[in-house]
Amino acid sequence: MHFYDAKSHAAVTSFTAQVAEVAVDPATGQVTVLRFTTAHDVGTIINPLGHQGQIEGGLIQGLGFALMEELQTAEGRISTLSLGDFKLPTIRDIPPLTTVIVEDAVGPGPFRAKAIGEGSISPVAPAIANAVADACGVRIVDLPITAEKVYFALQDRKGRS
Amino acid sequence: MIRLTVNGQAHELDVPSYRTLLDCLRYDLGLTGSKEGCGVGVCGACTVLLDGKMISSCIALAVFADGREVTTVEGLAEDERLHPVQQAFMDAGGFQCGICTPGQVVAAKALLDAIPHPSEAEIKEWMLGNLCRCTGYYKIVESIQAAAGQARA
Repeated sequence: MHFYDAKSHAAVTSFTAQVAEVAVDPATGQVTVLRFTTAHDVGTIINPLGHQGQIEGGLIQGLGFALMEELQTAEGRISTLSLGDFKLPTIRDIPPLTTVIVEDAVGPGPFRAKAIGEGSISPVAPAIANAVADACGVRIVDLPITAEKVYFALQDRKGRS
Repeated sequence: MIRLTVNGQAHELDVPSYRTLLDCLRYDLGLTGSKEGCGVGVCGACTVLLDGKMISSCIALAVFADGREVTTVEGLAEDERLHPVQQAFMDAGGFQCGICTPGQVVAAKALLDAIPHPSEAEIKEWMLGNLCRCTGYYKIVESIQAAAGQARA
């Protein structure tokens, strides 16, 4: 018996769990991701190199989304007009990464594959936000989690206590 | 009139003084390997070598290359054989969509010319100016390490 109907959508078939380990500088609010672990429930891996590439690429897009990427506007106009203004991860922003693959050949795709492309993007921000809350006790609920937001949240908490 | 050598071939060109080196390569010489990503010199997609030194060709003027030697991604392979850096990017999965790849490969070649066996920190320092959206950079680091190993053998 298969868990998946071959005609169903891939969206519900792939599960991801991630762990972020972060350091927060209490003086500046700067968040540094020290280590990252990403675990994937996958189907048959057709192209291992491409598969791992999708995981890593998605993860770093998620990291940018979590920590730095922001489409800013000024008086209703977009002010981040080029890659000179829009901050996205560089090669120096990538944390040491551990990937865990749980292969389970019952996906709905060709050769019983499952989707992998987007799985690694979405949980990154919640994992980092949870790690920040665990590290310094403030919960940032809008992205990106910039040093400024963490700093003012820390000041705010200090003011109230 | 400017005279420049591109990938070993001499050219004489009439270009307006405002023509960027990137546009000159792409539109006057048909070398479309180098890409325009940001147009302001921060993304690295237009990286070429000018007398062996890497520059952002989108913010260099073509007249600036007068009398000098330009190497683009098209000039790396020799006799249909890929440059070790190109082969390593293929083997180690150093690219996905490919738009940043010509710049990454040229920058990586420049790195290995300057530092044949770079540490991971040196790779990250050197490649900082080449943005990539798809790979997450891990496999770019691995590709360069593989290329360095290949050069060693």
